[in-house]
Amino acid sequence: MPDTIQLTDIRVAFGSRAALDGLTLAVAAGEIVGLLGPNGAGKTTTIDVCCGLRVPDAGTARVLGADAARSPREIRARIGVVPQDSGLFPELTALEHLELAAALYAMRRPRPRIEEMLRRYGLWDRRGQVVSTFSGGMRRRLALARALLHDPPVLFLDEPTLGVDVQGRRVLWDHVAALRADGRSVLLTTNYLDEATALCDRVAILDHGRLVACERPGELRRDGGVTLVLQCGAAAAAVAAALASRPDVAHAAADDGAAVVRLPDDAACAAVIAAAHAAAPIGSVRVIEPSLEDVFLGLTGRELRE
Amino acid sequence: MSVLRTVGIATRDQLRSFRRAPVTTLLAMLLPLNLLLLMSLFALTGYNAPTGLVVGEDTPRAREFVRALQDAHNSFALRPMDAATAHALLRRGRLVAVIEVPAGFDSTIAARRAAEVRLTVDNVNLDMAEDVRRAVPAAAAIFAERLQLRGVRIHPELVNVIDHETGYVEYLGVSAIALAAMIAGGLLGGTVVAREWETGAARLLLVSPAGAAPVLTGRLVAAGLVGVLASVATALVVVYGYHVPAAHPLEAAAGIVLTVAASTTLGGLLGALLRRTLPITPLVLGIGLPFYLDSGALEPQRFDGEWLFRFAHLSPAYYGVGVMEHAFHGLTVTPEPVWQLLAVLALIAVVPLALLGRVARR
Repeated sequence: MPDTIQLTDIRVAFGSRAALDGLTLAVAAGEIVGLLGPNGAGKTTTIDVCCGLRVPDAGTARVLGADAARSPREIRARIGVVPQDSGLFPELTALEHLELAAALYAMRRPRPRIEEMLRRYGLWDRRGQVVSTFSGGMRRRLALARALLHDPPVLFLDEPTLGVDVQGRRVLWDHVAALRADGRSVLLTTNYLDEATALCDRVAILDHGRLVACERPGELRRDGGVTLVLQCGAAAAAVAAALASRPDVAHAAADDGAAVVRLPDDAACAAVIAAAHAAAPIGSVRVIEPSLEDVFLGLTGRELRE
Repeated sequence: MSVLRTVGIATRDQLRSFRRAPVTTLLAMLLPLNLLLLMSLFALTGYNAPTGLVVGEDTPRAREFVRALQDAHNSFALRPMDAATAHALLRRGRLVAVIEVPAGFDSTIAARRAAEVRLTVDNVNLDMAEDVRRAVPAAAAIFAERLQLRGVRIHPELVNVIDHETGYVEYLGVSAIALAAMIAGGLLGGTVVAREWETGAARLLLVSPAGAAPVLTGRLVAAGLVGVLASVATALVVVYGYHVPAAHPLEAAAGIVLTVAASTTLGGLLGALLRRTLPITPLVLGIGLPFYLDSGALEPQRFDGEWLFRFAHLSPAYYGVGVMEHAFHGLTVTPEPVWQLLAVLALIAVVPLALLGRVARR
């Protein structure tokens, strides 16, 4: 699949603070990439650069082959954006929002498409009602419908489920996942790691404007290593001591009748379990994979960024 | 004690909030200063009004009469000049009145005959004209007392520039239409544009192929229409409530529409710069009211000093008031003709629109 979004060595500074520091990232057609990072990591700035709203100090951002900084007009008709705060007017109806969006994108005879989008996102029955009567989830669906109205191949979603309840988030996830099936590229920012796991083909973790990881969620978790819990009763301390000296073991300790062993690479699991069996009889073995949150914290640290 | 402690902590926190929200606090501190400015402008508009003084001879009694004039009425700044210049400036609206002390004044007084002092008044409104008319008899009385000239007679020969009198309330009421147009336009224009940023919609406009300008222009057109309605309502009160019919209704309509248009787009530009609705109202009122007072709303542009006169030209109110006074009363209160006032209002309406897209992308 060709890349629809290509960011190469992007640098953006706000005064002396680097918002993006050499970011290189690509998103292929039909791929959903999640941008994760602590507050102020540069997620929204990345979207701004892609949309041509911010000209980078260095580097190039190409969207659908066009340079976002030099030819923003070229890409605007072909991208859709859902901003963090929706951009909806509480006193206007769903239909009125989509009518304005159709005008902004110079759509001819937009009525059928508006109806299609309102129906697809479950808003047709509420099309004549003002947005102030909508739930958070409905507002987000309306924002998504508006961003997709002109059928863009590339979509930027900034915190698409922020402030939405659990049921609403699941519905939105289904809608976003369906975009992949349509062959659209999606770059989304999120602070919800379960959302990134559920939705994204790849997760890019930003910290201090730098890309610290960009892999499939499963691979990221695997990169975080595994933890083995070997039940061996009174022999736990001896087993832990025997395994601690192995080069493929990061850490081993006895805990409540079990040897708890952390491995940096899950490929070493079989060898480590065999070594444990050789040291003492093992009752049971449990393999614990790290969560994406563990990986995220491991890469970005526990320090607050507010 | 616990209640007092709570009050104390709340006071401390509120003071900290004021310090940490500088825009709101600054506005709250500037508005009282603004009131001082308003009152000063209010006084300045009717104070030291420039009056041309033409003295036909340099004689002791003529000089004494000029001193009496200076002491008679502190509303006037007497400006010695020749008759032709004085009347030209009066016609252009740069002088309130011309006082002419004739040649032979000294000998006439010495002979205890009646001296004629010619007073030509721009009687643009009754209040101002009466102030001027009272000045010459008062000066004559002071002059007579100082020179111990019992029974001296000085006849002020009154010449009105305008053939009809305009009441002060009627004069002010008409200018209030321009004020309504300016405030309504500024508030609505500023608010609708600032809301685009507050709702986050501005970002969407900026990434759309059409850009922000068409939507912001559309919002301003709607704001302008509502502003026109508000101003027309004010005009109807003036026409039917104050019984002031418009001498030139089409001119009045054009004045209302263009003053609203100019104020709405200026307000829109302010909204795009501030990107918050909260400061729009105090700022529009804070800027609008001094400009209104300085616009010739209370008196026409005959202030003491050029800077106030030039300052007035920065605001749509100056042009709006000028058009309204002519449209309703047939008065010319600005040196510029009405077509020029309307053209400037149209220009003010267009320039911020042209800048809006650029400011939005900032």
